[in-house]
Amino acid sequence: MTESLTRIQALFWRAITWPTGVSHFLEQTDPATRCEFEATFLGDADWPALERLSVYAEVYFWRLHDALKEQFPVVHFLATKLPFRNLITDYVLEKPPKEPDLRRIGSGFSDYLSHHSIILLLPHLEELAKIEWAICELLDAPDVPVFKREALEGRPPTEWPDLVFVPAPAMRLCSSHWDYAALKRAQERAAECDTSTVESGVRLDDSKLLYFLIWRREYQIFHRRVKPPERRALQAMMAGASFASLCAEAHKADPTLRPESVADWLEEWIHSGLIGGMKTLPL
Amino acid sequence: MPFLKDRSGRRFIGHGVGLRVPHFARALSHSLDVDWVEVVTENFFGAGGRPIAVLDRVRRDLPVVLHGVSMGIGSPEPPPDEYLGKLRRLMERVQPAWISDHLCWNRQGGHYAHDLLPLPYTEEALERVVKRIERVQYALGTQILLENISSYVGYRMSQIPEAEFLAEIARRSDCLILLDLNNLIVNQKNLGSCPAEYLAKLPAERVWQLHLANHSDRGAHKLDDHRGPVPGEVWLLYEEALRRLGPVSTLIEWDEDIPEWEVLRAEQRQAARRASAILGDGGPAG
Repeated sequence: MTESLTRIQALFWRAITWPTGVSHFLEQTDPATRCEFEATFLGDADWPALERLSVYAEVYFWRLHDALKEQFPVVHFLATKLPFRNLITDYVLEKPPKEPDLRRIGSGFSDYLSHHSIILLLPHLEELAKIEWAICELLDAPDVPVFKREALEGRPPTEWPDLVFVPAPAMRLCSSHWDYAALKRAQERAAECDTSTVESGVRLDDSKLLYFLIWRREYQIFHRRVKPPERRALQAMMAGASFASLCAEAHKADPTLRPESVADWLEEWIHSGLIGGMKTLPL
Repeated sequence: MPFLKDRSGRRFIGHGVGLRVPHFARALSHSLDVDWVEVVTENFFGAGGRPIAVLDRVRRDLPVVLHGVSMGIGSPEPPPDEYLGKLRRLMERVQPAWISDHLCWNRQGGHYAHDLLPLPYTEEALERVVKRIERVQYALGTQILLENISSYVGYRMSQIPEAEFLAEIARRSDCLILLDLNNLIVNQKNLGSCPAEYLAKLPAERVWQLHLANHSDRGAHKLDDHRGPVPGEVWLLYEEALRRLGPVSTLIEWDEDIPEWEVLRAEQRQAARRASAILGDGGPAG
């Protein structure tokens, strides 16, 4: 037999997590549960038990809502106020928080969106959520010692093809059918923007896909759009390929690419803190 | 299971503030001119980045207290091993003055409420909480402080006054107490409890920390939102607590509409001044 403490906690939990509130929970539950509710919680004429439990229900929902709104500002901006609230109600109902750190609440949001009906209104919205979640994850991604350009100095040219650059943990490459950078600018000046106008300007044809590099340098998050040759080189680096393979991949994307381009990117990657280390391909 | 590491008396680290994100930049660039800071434990479970850098930087200058919000000591399921592992690793890194969490529950079926839910004060709950604290203290290798929470609802089956419940938990599990004075004021309105009686029932030697904060008056109830400066009624209760308990390390909590550092520090200074007026300047050094 379940101990009484565990039983009343289950009742408390059901009441405060009911998607439409404690009042509806009591209306929609069975008479025995209503009796148990009455027999469990204390209230008075000024402030009945139902209203007291509703404080917890409100806090439960709004704390999660506000955390998600903060983690996904662009999704919130596009979804607009009321649908976002409904979306969060659905998300919290299906994916209640499983981690002790509230900042992890958004970990399943992108996957969830990809199966939600909001995608019919805002196709590929999950891609924006994935970008925004990457930003959240990078905030406290592991630190690595700064890789310095000097580590490359004195390397004979014959060794370069076999060098493998290890990406820093605080970087991600994300794709989107939306121009995330333009959308982020619009969201930051949201008061001046009409969401519907913005949407038509920054969503691309289904056949087009943009790539965004997101990274943390020291404690600040940056993002920028990357073109296909650099994207191919980055993807190769992230897959553990050698410098020679990086160059080959970039060249596939743009056969007219100048030979110095990859070296220029490498310089930029090092400066931005995208490189966490370097090794040489085993013989 | 007795676990008291230092029976010579309670440790006093002065008057501190809750360190929150708006003041992280300052923490990285300045010495924080308070006696100590308290941080929300779970916000530092990440591997790197600014949160950990802040903690490492602050710890060089000041005592740090790790204050958890997710242990959920009275939940149907015990605190997960993974959680305790993370807490232990953070503790080893930070070497906090002490760690604390709440007398509450917050987890059901593996899901977190991210809120502090009240327990009924029954022998069944008492036994559960005592066993859990013993397990946590064993896993962490140290005593923890347990904090009284603000509540919006009581249970018909509660048999033990909350202060007696907390005191008995502390006695049986050999844990310590973090007494939140604002929560006593909130509960006075919401549950009709008496802060003075509450204070009188606590074992003074186990109260190692006080929390001071504000709340919002919502008419029928008070909401514990830590918004605004410490109100007069909490200051008065603070003075009463000091008269009864003696010098206790005290922290200002301010979590909504967080003000400039100077405003927060002024609150901390006020806590120190009031303590000095009650206890004299010959009390323990901060």
